[in-house]
Amino acid sequence: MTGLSASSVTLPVADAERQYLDATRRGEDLAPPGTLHLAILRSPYAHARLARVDVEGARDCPGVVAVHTGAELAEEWTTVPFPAEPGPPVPAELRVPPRLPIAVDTVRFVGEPVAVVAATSGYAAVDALDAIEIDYEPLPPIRDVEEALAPDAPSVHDSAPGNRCFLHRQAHGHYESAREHADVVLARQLRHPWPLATDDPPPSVVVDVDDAHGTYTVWSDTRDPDQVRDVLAHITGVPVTGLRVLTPGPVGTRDPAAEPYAEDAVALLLARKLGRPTTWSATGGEARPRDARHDDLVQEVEICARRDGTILGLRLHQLVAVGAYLSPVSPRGLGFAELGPYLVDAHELRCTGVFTTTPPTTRLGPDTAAATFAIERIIDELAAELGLDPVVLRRRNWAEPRFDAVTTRALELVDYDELRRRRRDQESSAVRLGIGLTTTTRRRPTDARRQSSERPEGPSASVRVLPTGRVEVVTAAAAFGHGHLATFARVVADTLEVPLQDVRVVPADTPHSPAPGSASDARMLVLGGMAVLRASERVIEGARSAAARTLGCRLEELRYGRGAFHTRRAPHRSVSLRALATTPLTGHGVAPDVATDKEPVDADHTTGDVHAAHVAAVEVDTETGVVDVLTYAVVDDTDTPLGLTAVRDGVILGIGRALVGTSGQDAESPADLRCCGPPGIVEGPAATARPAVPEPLAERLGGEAPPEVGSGRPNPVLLEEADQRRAAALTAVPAVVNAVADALRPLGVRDLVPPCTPDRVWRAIQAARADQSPSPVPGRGETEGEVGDRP
Amino acid sequence: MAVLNLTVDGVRYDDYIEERTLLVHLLRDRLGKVSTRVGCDTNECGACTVLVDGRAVRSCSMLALQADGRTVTTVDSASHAVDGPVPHQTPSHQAVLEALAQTFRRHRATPCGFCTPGMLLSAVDLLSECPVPTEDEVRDALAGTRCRCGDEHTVVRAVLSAVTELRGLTPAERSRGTTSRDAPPPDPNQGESATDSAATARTDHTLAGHRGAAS
Repeated sequence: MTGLSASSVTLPVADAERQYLDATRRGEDLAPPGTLHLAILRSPYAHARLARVDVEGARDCPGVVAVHTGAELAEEWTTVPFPAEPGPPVPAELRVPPRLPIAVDTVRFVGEPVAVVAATSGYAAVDALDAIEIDYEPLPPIRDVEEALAPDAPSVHDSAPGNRCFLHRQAHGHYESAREHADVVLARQLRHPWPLATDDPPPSVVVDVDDAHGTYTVWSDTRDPDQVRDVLAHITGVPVTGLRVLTPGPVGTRDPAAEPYAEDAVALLLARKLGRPTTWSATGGEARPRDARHDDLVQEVEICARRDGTILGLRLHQLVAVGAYLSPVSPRGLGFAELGPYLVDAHELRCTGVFTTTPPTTRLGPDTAAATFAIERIIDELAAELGLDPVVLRRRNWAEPRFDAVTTRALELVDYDELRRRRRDQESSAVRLGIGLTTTTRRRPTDARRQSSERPEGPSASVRVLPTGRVEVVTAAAAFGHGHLATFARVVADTLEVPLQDVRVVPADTPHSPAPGSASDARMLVLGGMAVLRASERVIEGARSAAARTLGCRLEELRYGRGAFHTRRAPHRSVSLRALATTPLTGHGVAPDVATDKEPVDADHTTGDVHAAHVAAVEVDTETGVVDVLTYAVVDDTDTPLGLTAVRDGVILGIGRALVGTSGQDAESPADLRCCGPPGIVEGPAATARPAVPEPLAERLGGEAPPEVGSGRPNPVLLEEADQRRAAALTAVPAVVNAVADALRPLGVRDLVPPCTPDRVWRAIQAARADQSPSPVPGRGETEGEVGDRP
Repeated sequence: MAVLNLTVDGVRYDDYIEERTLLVHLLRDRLGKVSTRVGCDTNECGACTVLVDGRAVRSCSMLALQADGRTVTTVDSASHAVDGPVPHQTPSHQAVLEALAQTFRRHRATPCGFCTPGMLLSAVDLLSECPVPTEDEVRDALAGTRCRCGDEHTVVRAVLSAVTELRGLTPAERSRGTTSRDAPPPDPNQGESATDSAATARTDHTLAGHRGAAS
């Protein structure tokens, strides 16, 4: 290993992981000698018929080994499956149009593969693309939800009339009757554009061929090698046993990595046809349109309440563009979030997925973050409508009084009364103060999982004590460079009380996976770590009876500590796990069960909810639209030993999303830019054009006491840091947008689409001034278009 | 084909190359310096940043021939510190890179590691120009290198922490390039397969706190 080369610098990893990875490498770094480089020709049209595809010229280019069109390969693979894994309930109405990795006669998004070249070098492959001739007959593009649902909209797929992909419904109580009894009904149409995930490292894949065995090794930038293996086996017909799928190293941190890329299938098919290893890595421009995820989410939200602020009902209809095809990822995120900490008797939640001629998204629906955004926004709007303080309105609707504690503390931290006073004072000045709140309840990840699926999900793990004393941990969690494996090693060493250096962690590698695991974005650490923890505990439990026999004592007399069993009667006698693992080899007596297999995470423990309150105060310069964060407080009651750094970092990230991040939806951008547009900036506030952001004030109120390690009750918050950061980031977005809306409400600005960039804020103010519309009378089905984003 | 002579991480390299070869492709494909990432191809993300004659440049936007006769430094160069400073580098470069690598680890500023080499080298460039930058100067210097994980803040913290450490060194120590190698932070878990100190510290904290709360 070379000192500071990638391995030692860039990965905070266990030696186990380092040994396996050797470096933080990417698939493209692993191509064996003689690998063919693939280049893919992609559609420049969002929607077009392929009238002619002529690749003959490319076949004669130097270095070219093979060129194929979608039509030539159509018989050699089958349509991309859906869903690839059992997950949350599949929506009642679901249409899955066929999709092949390379388009055959119609292209349906910018960047859809049309032809592939295999050549001896990357430069030669890209050169050959220029010699391919294609005649496109453009068809009308469908760019967003509204266009897709327009009565005369053309169909993206013949098999999906009206461009409807799915409808998911969830209801509680009788919303209509609640609405009839309400004094106030307030409806809003919100947009919650997600940042495009274009900043991920461009994906790459390497397929190695073992001719002797007819097997293939696929290095894929995925977090879920099991899923990729199953999808690839389905598409290409290679048996599952002939495919080994591995994750090479860091692959970024967001969802695009979860989709089994069509290019993986292309590389595998060509490797099989040509009998040679293949590699493909996206150029930045190639990856960008494809990595776009659901940046088009329309939320029609309606809330009804009594005059005193008692919320009677909530209706949320979310319309989401899934892109041109369903991604072979299960419809996660369709299950709606709980309604936060509020008691709402009647609610009706709907989610409609629509096809558009945009790249397929890897998520099919809005998730907790989107629902939280809609609910928290409408509650602040309702407070304004009723002339109530948003804090008072929230307090009137707590599901349980104890939710108040975090909110009260957060308000103390920012000195809420003083802020309110200052806001009143500044109401006529050019720089307006605004205060926004978000109060949330979220379930622990494991509990939420249980809600959404009967089948336990999450990367499974097995822990095995070898006769050498080495503890081998096999996890279905992919090593994608976030140091999970180091933490896993630590959990095992701590639970078994063995030296850390005895623990080896083997990351996801399909032939050895203990059980198919679903690696879920930020929750890898929580879910995978839980599985490792429980598997370790099972090792101790499993060895107990063998230890009792060896020591000649009763089970209840055994104590476990420092990697060995002891007996109370004779404290000097002990037998170690290693010894128990050795005995069967040496032929003496007992056969201990010091291994556990297939320990998926399950959620048979409940640890209650986590409550959090975020309060943001911002100053908006009404003349420039610049928003500065004045103060920010976050208080939660997670019972975790972790510090608050993750929460603070998350808040800053969230502020960045609310104020800085762009999504390519600026009204002045040509609409096509949504497909292949400007780079999405998903980062926290960077150096340039950075709003003033103070360090968030964060506190944690004592929650429940965490369960003891080894007590049989795994502690799901043990490894929750990543999850906390994510939750804080997502909760911060509505708090900041609420604050900006609060500052601008006296000017007549009714809504804002995040990110609240100076440009958008300024235009929202101008639009409101130009159209000092009378206060709307909210009524049935009436929605208000958002101000600011659209001319 | 054209003749190219350049020095990469202290090693001279002479070969014929295609004129259009980009520096990043030369480094990755022919010299095996895969720590130099290809991120965006469009001069936006900074993942391909290397030092050319000590200054940070985007190797995806530079022809290899433009580096003819010059010295190129990637993060791999720091490995030479084991055998003493790399001849072509100024000693302070070496110390700075080492110090940064240490503080990046300690602050866990390497989430997925993709941007880290570019971040490190951008920071080296900054600290060679401006040994004691303000936070804003650090942010400005790193603005061209994009962290896909959204962890700029930890990176900024790590750089500022390295600045503090480097200031604490005597000039003689700095010129010897001995930042942390001589006095590694004590790590009780450093065994033959000990985890990286950053990760260890993190979980130590977690488990210790957990135990404390449970007992």
